[in-house]
Amino acid sequence: MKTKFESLLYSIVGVVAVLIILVAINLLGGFFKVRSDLTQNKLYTLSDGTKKILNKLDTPVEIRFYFSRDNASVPVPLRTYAQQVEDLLAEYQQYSHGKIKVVKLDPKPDSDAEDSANLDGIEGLSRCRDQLS
Amino acid sequence: MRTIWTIARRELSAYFSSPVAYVFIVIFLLLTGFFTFMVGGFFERGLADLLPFFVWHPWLYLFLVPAVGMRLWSEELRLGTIELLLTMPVTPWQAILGKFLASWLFLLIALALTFPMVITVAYLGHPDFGRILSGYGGSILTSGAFLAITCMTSALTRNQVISFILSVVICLFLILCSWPPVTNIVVNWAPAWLIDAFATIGVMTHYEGFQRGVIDSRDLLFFLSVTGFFLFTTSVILRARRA
Repeated sequence: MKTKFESLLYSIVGVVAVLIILVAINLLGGFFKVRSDLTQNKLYTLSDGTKKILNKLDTPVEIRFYFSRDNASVPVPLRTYAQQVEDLLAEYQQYSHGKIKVVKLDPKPDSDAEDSANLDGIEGLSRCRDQLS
Repeated sequence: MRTIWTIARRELSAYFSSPVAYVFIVIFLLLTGFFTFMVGGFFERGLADLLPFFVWHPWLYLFLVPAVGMRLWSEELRLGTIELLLTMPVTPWQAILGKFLASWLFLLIALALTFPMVITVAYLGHPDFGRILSGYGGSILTSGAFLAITCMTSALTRNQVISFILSVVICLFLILCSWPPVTNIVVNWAPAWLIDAFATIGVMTHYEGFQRGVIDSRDLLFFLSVTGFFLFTTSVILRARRA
C-alpha cells in the first residue's frame, strides 16, 4: 500500500515537474521567436525600408485603430480586412522596439472611443441594410 | 522504432476493418463542406482563399478527435488486453507512440481527403498556396494536440464514453480560453495578466497564425509542448495502473 502511494506521489511530482519545464521552455521560446512567412507576396513581412524607418524612430508613436467589432452589421469582407490591418499593425509594433503603441478601439455609439474617433476626424460610415445582403 | 511502426500499423488497420473509419471520414468531409460553404460564407467573401475552411477545424476536431481516440486505451483496459500488450517485449512508450501515431495518421488521411477544397479554390481563382499549406500544417498540429489529450483521458478510464466526454471538456477549455466571445465576457472582472495567461494557453491564439500563412516558432512550440505533455501524462497513468 505504501509503495503504491509512493509511486503515485512520484508520478504526480513528475507530471508537475514536466509541466513547469514545458511552461519555462515556452516562456523562453518567446524571446527567440522565428517566423517564416509562407504567403506568396510576403504579406506579413515588412520590407527592409520600413524596418529601417522603424529602427530610426526616437519618439513614442501611438497608432489608434478604430473598428466597430461588436457591430453585427459589419460585413464579413470588412471584418477580414480589419483582421489583416490589425496583423500588420502588430508587425510594426514588433519591429519598433516598443516605440509604437497600437490602441484598438471599438467606436460604439456614445462611448469614449467614439469621441476619440471624432476628435481624430474619423466619421462613421453608414451602410444601407439592402446593400449588405 | 520498428516496434512503434508495427503497433501503429496494427492500430491503423483496426480502424479500417470496422465501419468506424468510413463513417468518421464521411462525416468529417460533410461537416467541413457544410461549414465552409454554408456557414463560412465561402462564396460571399469573394476571396480565393481557404480561411472559411480552416477556421472551423478546431471546432470539428473538438468532437471528432475524441471520437477517434477514445478507444485507444480504454478498449484495452476493458478487455484486459492491456496486460497482454505490456507483457510483450514492448516498452510503454513504444505502445503509446504507436497508438498515437496510428490515430494521427488516420486523422491525416481524413484531412488529406479534403483536397477537393484546394482544387475548388484553385479553379475559381489564384489562391496563395503557401497559406493553404501552413493552414493544413496548423490543422494537423491542432489535431495532434487534441489527440494527445484524448490518449490521456482514454488511459484514465475503461469506459469509452467517459473518456470521450472528459477529452471534449479539456479540448473545449483550450479552445474557449482564448476565444474572443468568451474573453470579452471575462474581461470586465478578470485581471489582465489572467486573461493574457489564458490567451497563451488557448489553441485559437496559436492556430490563428497558421491560418494567415505565418509559421511562428512559438506556435509550433506550443502545440508540440501540449502534445508531449499529454503523452507523458498518459505514460504516467499507465505506469501507475501497472504498479
